[in-house]
Amino acid sequence: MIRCVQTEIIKRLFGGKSVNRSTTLKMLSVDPSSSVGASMRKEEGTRPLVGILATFVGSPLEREIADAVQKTRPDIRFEVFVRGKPTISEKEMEDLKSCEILIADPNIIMDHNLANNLPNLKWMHCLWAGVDRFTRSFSPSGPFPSYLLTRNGDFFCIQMAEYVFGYIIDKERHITEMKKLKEQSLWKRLPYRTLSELTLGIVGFGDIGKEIARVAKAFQMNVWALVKSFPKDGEQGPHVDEYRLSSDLPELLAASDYVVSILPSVPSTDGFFDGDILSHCSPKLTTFMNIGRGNVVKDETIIAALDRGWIGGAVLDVFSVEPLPEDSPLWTHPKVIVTPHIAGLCISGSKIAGDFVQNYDRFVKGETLPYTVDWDKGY
Amino acid sequence: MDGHRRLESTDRPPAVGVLFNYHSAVVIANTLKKLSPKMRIELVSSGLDLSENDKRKLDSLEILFTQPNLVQSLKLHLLPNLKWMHCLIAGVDLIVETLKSEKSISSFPVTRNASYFDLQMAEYVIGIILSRERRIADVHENQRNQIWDQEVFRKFRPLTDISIGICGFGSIGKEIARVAKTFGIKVYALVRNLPTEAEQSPTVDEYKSIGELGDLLSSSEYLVSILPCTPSTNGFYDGDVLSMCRRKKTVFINIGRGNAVSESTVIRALNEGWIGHAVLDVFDKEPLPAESPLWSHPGVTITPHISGTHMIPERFVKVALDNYNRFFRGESLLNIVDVNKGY
Repeated sequence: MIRCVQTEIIKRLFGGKSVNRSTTLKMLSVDPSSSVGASMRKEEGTRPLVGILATFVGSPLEREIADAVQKTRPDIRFEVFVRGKPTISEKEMEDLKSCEILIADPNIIMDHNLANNLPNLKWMHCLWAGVDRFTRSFSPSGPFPSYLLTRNGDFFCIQMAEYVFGYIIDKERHITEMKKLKEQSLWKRLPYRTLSELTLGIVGFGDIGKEIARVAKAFQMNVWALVKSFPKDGEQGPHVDEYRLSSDLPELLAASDYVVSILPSVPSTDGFFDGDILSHCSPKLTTFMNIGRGNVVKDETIIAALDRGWIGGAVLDVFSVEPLPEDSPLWTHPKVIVTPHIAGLCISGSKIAGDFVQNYDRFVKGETLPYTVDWDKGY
Repeated sequence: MDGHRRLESTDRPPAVGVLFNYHSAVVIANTLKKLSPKMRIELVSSGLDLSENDKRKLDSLEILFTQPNLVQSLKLHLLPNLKWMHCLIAGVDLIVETLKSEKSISSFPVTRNASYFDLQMAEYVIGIILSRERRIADVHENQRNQIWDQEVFRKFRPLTDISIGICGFGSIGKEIARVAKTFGIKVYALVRNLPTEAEQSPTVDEYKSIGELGDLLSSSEYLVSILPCTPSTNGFYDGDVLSMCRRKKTVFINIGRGNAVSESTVIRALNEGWIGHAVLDVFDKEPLPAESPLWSHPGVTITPHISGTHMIPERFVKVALDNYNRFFRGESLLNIVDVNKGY
C-alpha cells in the first residue's frame, strides 16, 4: 500500500550555499510493474531517498549522474547532493544519514567515519571498483553494516584493458623511444615483436581480468590465467589458453612475457609477489604490471627483482602507500614506470547512471544486484 | 595468362628464386625449405654486376619470390621464363611501375603477401591512439619530475567515446576496424563501392563512399590512411581536403604510402588548425631527409616506416607457400595484383 508523503526537492549543495531541508521520505513499497508514466501520476513521495556523496574537482560529476538518470527515469529523484571536501557540514551529515540509497565514493565514507553511521541506508552503490579501504576497516568476523554494498565493476573493465595494452604496445613498438629519435631527427628502425608472439599472464581473474583476456586474444596473444579453482568443463572462457592455480604461480610467471596483477587487497593477497617468487620470471625477463592493489608487492621487492635480472621491467599503477612517497626508489629506477593510480580513473556520469538505474530496478524488486560486495570475501 | 601449370609426378619442380635483402633472404629460404622440403630454392641477386652464373640462374627461373625495390633494379628481360612472381610484402607500387614500363614482359601473374601484415599494423595504430589518449608522454614527464598528479589525468576519454575513419579498406583496413571495435571505437570506413547489407562487416559502424569523404573526416577523432600508391591516390589529401577535419581536429595517421599527402599539406593543415596532429610512417622519400621540416614540427610524430615490417618467418611465407601449391595444382592464386588498378 503506497502512502503519500509530501516532499520537496532539496537544493543541491555546493561549497557554502545553504540547503533547505525537506521532510524525510519513507520508502514503503514500490510497484515494480509501474511504468514511468504511471509512477509520475502517483502521488509524489513513494520513492526512496537517494543521495550522492562524491567529490570531484572540476566538473560536478554528481550532477552529471543525476541528470543522466533523470533523462530516462524521472521517477528516480536525487534528493541529496554532498561534496565530500573540504568538509561536510552538520546539515549535510543529517542529509546523508537520512538517505536510504546512496551513491558514494567509499574513501569519503571512510574519511568521515560514516560506514556504520548511516542508519537509514539500505543500499550503497560505490563509484569505484576497489572497495578495500572500506571492507578492510571491519574486523574479519564483523559486525558488518546492514546495508547492501555494491561496487562499480563493468565500466572500469575496458579502461583497465586500455591502460594495460597502452603500456604493452608502447613498450613493444617503442612509441616513446621513437619520440626521442624524432627530437634528434634520427631515422632509425628499431626491431620489434608483435603481441601475437607473446604470452600474457593474468593474476586475478575477475571481470577486469576477463576483459583483459578478451582484448589480449584480439591481438592473438597466448593467455594464461591464475584462478582460485579450475573452471568446470564447458565453463572455460574462449580467451584463455591455460588456467593455473595459485600453487602454479611459478609456472605462470616463467611462461609470461607480461604479467598483470589485478588481485584485490585482502589478507590472502598481502605480499603475494614478495620473497623470491619473481625469480621465476627470469627465463623471459617478464614485465610485471600491477593495476590491482599495492599490498601484493613491496617497493623493495620490485627493485630487487629488477636488479637481480628476474623481471625486465615494471609498470605500476598502485602502491603500498599512495601517493608514492618522494623517497621511493621506484620513481627513478630506469626500468620502472610509475603511474598515479589512473588505470581506471575515468568516470562517465552517463555510464554510472546506466549501471545505477539497472541496479535500482533490481533493488526495488528485491533481486540480487551485480557486484554486491561479499563482506567475508572483502570484494 | 593464368600462369599456372600442372606438375607431372615425374617432373622435377622448377626452382623458386628468392630475391630479397640478403640476410632476410637466407631466413626466408631456410624457412621455405623447412616447411616444404621438396622445394628447390635459388638465392638470386639483382645487383648491377651480375655474374654469368647469376644470369644463368635468372634465365631459367619460372617462379620468383621477391620485394619491389629489388625488382626495380632487376632487368626483367633477364627472366624470359618467368611464369609467376610473388611479392613478399604488401605494397606493390614499385613492381607495378616496373611492369608497366616493360609492357611486353607483364604476362605472368603477380601475387602479394596480404593478411600477414594486418595485425601488426593494427597494433601500431591502436598503440598510437592509446599512447595519445592515455597521455603516456605526460605520465613519463610527471615521473621524471616525481610528480604524483591524478587530477590532470582524470578527464581522459575512454576509447568508447571516439571514432576512427579508415581510408583504404582492404585487408589491413578491415583488421584495423576489428581491433578498433575490440575497444569499442566507432568505425567509419571509406570504400569505393558501398557494400550490400549482406557484405557489411559487423566491425564497421558506417561505410562512406569517396563522395562522402567530408562526412568521414568531420566525424573522426582519428583518420588512418592505408591507401596504396596509385595514380588515383596521388595527393588524395592535398588542397583543402583536410580542412574538413576541423570539427574534431582529427589526428591524421598515414601508414599507406607517402604519395597521398605532401609535406606542405601536412604542415599547412597543422598550422591552420585543421588537424590536431599528424602521425606519419610513410613519406615521399625514405629515409625522410634531414632537412625536411616535418622533423622539427611539434605537431608531427615520425616513425620510420615500421608499422608492418616485422618478419615472423613461418607466417611471412605462408601465402607464398599456399600459392606455390595452388600453382602446381592448377588452382587460382591468392592475392593477385591487378596491374591496371595498381594493387
